[in-house]
Amino acid sequence: MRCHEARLLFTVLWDDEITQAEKEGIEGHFASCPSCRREYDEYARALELVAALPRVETSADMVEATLARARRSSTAPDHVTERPAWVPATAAAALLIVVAALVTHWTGVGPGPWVDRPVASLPATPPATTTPVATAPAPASATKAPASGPVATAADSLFDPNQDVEFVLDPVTLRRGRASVMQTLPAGVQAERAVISF
Amino acid sequence: MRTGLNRLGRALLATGVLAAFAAGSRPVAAQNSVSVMDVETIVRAARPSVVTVVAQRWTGQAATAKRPATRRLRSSIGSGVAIDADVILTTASVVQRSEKVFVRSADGVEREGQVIGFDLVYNVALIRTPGARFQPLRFANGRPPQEGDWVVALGTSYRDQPTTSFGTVSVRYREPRFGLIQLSNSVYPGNSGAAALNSRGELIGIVQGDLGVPDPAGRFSESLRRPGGMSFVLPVEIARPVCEKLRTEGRVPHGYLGVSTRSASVESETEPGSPVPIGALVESVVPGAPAQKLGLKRGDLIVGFDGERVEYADQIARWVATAAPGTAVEIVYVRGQTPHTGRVTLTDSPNAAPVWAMGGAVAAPESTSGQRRIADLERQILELSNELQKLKSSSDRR
Repeated sequence: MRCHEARLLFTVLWDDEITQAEKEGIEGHFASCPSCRREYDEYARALELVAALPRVETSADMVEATLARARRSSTAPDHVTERPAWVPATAAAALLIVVAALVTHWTGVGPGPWVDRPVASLPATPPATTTPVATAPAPASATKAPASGPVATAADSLFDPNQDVEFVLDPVTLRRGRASVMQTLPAGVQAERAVISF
Repeated sequence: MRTGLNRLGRALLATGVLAAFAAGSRPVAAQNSVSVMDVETIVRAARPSVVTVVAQRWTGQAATAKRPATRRLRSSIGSGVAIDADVILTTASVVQRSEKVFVRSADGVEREGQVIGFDLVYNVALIRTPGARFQPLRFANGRPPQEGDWVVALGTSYRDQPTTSFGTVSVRYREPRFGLIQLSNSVYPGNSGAAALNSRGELIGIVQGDLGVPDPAGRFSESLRRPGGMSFVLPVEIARPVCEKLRTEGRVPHGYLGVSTRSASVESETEPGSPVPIGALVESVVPGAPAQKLGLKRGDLIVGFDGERVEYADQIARWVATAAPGTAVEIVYVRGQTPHTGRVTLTDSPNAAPVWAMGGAVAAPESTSGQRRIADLERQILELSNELQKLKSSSDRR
């Protein structure tokens, strides 16, 4: 067995998924090649060190939540349409306008900072650090709630996917012929050590 | 003459076919079954009584002199059923912790509502919408729904979409004092509080949820949610008295034993590594509470409640909470190797629901450690965004 062949078998040797013939071959090679032996030992030590690292616990639904956010932010088209001829020209024009706007902004020429002007086509992201203000027009409802307090003013932005909205449907557990609506534990309480008082 | 006979033959054949159809359909109708036409009628009649419930609350903190506001509007959206001209029945999961509640009817009219009361143990809430004239749904009065009965579930989901699903009663769970009904209907996010109707268009229950993953104490992940076709409703036999209590007293009294327990299990002999639940292990006993009068002590294992086998701590917690104060119940517990049996009268619980906490100190459901952690995270995010703002303004100046 040659060195490069032996090195290809490092992972299967570590995982103990190696055949008897391969094992004999690689051990014979180790006996004659101290550099491969050393390399394998380092490889094994590195894997052991990594395995010994403390595990970082994340919330159980982190993957799902992250994927949901990614899906919301990047809505890919179902099919690719052929690009019309006017698209590059429009893109070039738009780029020109943006560059011109930036230049006027930097040189101080023209009206105030562009960020302060309302832009109709901006994505409707919720203002995280300011009090949310309803931007959508009120629907034609006969008995609309009186606009008292900040909650009422934002009532119509509910169905914006960027808003903080939860559509409620509780999970129910089935255990040995019993069914019960699942209780969510308070933050910081772990299931194994949880105590319930009644 | 020949054509006349032919005509007569055809007429007789048609009459025969019609008669066969009529004869065939009669027994089906007698079994209380539903034809497609009936489903349409039920849905059309009940739809105006099914509403969308939007519960809103603010999270974060108001602006101060030093820092901008971090307040965000959180909305929980569920379904609801009109049980009176101005009273909506929904679940506590939708309205709990809300500051404002809105009710949107099927015709798009939105009204602000007031929560009359909610109960976390039964997961039921009542909302009053002053000035509304809903067409209330009738509670089913006949025999309780049985396995195999047809059920129509009506609710709303994303963007006020009406949802309708058709299925049957799969299982009636015989949990003491608190038996949910399992349906084969599909339910959707936002269906919490939706109506389940029988073949006569009467309310047999309100939707509680769909099948989650069994876990000893509620660690549930959205990513583990299972496919549909198993939904659960709280039957009206249970919901109705709860509604009456909420309307008259604003709260539902719950039984109280005065004990803190955790689920105990042993390793299975036949399947090594998998736990077998054995009961509720007593951690502490409240002085003067019924549990102390019974003689329960730390380390006792509660294994029986009123003739039912106790396997999990949350199980007996639910049974105690759903028993009315003043009820005498029999408790079986094991101390050392000896089983003991005692009878105790439950008192009125000071808590709205059984309280989860870490072992030792018993905290309120909204634990302070969790709130502190969230506040820390919020502060860190604020600092980071302030730094970003500074960097941005310095690069703008350049």
